[in-house]
Amino acid sequence: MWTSMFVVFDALTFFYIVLGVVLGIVVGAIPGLTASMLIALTLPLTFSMGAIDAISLLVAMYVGGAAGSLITAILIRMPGTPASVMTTLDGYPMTQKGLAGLALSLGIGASFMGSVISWVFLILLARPLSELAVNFTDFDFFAMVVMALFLIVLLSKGNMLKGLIAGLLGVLVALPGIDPIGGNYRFTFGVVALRDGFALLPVLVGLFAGSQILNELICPSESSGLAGAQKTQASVRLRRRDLQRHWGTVLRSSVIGTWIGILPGVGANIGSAVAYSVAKTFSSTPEEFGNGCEEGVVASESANNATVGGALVPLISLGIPGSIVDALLLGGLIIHGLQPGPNLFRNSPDFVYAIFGTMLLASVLMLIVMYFTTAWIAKIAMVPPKFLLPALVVLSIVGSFTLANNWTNVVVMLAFSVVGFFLERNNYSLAPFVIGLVLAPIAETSFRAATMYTDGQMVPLIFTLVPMVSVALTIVMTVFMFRVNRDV
Amino acid sequence: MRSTLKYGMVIFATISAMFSVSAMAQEYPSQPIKIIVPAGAGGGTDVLVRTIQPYLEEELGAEIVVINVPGSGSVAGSRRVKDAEPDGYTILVNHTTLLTAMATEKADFGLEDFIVSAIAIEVPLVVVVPDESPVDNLADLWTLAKTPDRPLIAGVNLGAVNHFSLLMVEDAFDDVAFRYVQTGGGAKTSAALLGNRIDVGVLAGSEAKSLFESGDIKIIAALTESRIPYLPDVATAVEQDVNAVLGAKYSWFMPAGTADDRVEVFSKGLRDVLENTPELRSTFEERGFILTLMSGPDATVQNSALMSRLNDIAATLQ
Repeated sequence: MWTSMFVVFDALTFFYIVLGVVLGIVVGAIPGLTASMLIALTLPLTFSMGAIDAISLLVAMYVGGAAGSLITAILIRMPGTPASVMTTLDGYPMTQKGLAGLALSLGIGASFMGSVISWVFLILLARPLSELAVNFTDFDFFAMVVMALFLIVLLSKGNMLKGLIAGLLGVLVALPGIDPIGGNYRFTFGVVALRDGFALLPVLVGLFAGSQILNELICPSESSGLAGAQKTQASVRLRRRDLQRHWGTVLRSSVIGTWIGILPGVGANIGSAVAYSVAKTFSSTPEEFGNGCEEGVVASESANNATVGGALVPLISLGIPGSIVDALLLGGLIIHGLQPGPNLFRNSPDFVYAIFGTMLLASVLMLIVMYFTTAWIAKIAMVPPKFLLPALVVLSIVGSFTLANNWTNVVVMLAFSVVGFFLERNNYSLAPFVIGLVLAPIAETSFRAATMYTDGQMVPLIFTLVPMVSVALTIVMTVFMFRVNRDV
Repeated sequence: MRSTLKYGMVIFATISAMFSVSAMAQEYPSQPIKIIVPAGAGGGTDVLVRTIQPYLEEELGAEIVVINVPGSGSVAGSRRVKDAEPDGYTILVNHTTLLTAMATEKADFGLEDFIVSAIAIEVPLVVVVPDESPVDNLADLWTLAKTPDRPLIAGVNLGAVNHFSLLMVEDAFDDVAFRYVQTGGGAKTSAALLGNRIDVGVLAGSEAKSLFESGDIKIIAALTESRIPYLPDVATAVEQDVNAVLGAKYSWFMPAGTADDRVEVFSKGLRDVLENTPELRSTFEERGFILTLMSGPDATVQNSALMSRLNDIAATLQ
């Protein structure tokens, strides 16, 4: 196995992996461009390459793309892809406090750890994990998501009502568009542009980056905005001290991210949202979340990078793609005459090991590339607002436009800039809003799909293992939290 | 002065000659062709179009730009082509899902808004059951469906092609009603089959093949006109006396009103590329596609016949 993994050090393969990681990071960092777009555009170019080179290039892009988006999320409050929005919640406040360097270091370190931990699960437990995953029912999934939603509301301390309102607003924004089951239009109010609902990325870019721009334009004197970031320490350092402090969060979030990645059709943004909620529950300082909490950045980044390894688990062991990117990789495999599925291991073990090797090497390269380049990219935070603002405006508009080549998303982005501006002015936290927005569709779909099996009966669904365990865990964590709070 | 004038006239003559040449060369195609993929980058349709793109560019001698317009289950991108100038420079590639969207009235337009230049390439569909299932063919499935107090659970993406294909099967069985549950596309349906949560599902031939070879599922019928080349032992539904033929067939549409000669130039180009490019054929075969090719009135007739069948089925859903 180990010798097979060393094919990644073949000069050409190594070159492709470096290329893939760098391109992935760049694309991940640019709002509106995602790793899946990059891989889709690269796929036809790989037809003429060797099978191992081709798949190495694509997997490297996947790994790089998952990590790159943290840069803009932390520095300019613009999530490069929806998966890093949870990073924005605490990463940007850290930048405002002049801690951009620390936030980036933690983000990069957590990305690497998340990637490597999911890789360990991938190489050791691919088959048993995917067998567990195919037996995970819709209602099990619903129970898990509801647990995350419940915890985040419960934890909105002090402002529990405002947290609840913001969360429900997020849920409302998720509803219009195409009914996830049956595909009919709903809540479109007869507007054709609303038929697709609100796309996630323009909403997030508006809420976070757009609202920030408005804030700068309307109240430039307040140093709450970009100006506060200028005294930033931009040096990126990976310290053992940080790992010792956060290893629990890293491990827990990576396991959550890996598991969510394994479940078919559930994306990295859900992985990081769930990990963030759980990290907040376990934290000794939950009130710090959203104000620049280190654990928030760590939880989000280790979880969203861990979904990469997780999503490869069912692809390699069962031939079932765990994510959109995996569906593309599947296409790449078939073109090179490899039959994905349970027999892939038996028929082409060398190839599987090459994928394993690529993922590990790509994770290491991602760490190195990000480590050496981020220090000077971080200087963005020191650019005076009058130069940075126009660039941010252009980036927000272009990013929203390119997503689906239409102006609707630009209008959505602008509208949510205003929404975000007013929410923040009135001290409504964006965190519950985003969690409601991200988790509502998946909670709805899994609940409705689950009840279709039983023709609407709830009882046979509730009294099963996973929902019961979720309820028990929620109660235990609630009690645990109230006791901790009383001691303080 | 005189010579300057002379030069000026020469230049003028040359330029006007160039213009008249380009005016005469209103040959199609003389400018880039936009192909609208009504789905995101990297989906099945996108990869298919981008695979053919370089060969088609060479054949037609024009640049081809692939534009992704995802949304509304392929209706958004399709609408964009319907509303485009009917000059042959905007083409839609979409499969049977557009017809099911029309049948379920998710699209507020119909086949009459398009001219089909060609129907080329099919993703064949097969009916599958979990490996533990007692069902080996469609007759067994019918028997199982008739079991009292035990609903037959069918995993589909409600309103999509896989749903319609099982509705066609159900339509052939008397006295039974499947219980349809939402699983979604191929990946989620496969997971539900492996987890033994559904009794029956529909997968693309290539998806089913690998799970079948590893002994994780059974394939009980092919929903194609004739047997799928790489699944020679799987009898078609028609062979089993069930009139269910439905696959994801890709149509290449132009807006209604496009001149016939342009429609023909494009379909001929597509035909030449598919027939004369061995590496393209082998790529598609490896991916489990079937290389069907139909153009002109035949294609229109086929789409219309399928449309009326889908409309009949959609009417039973109400």
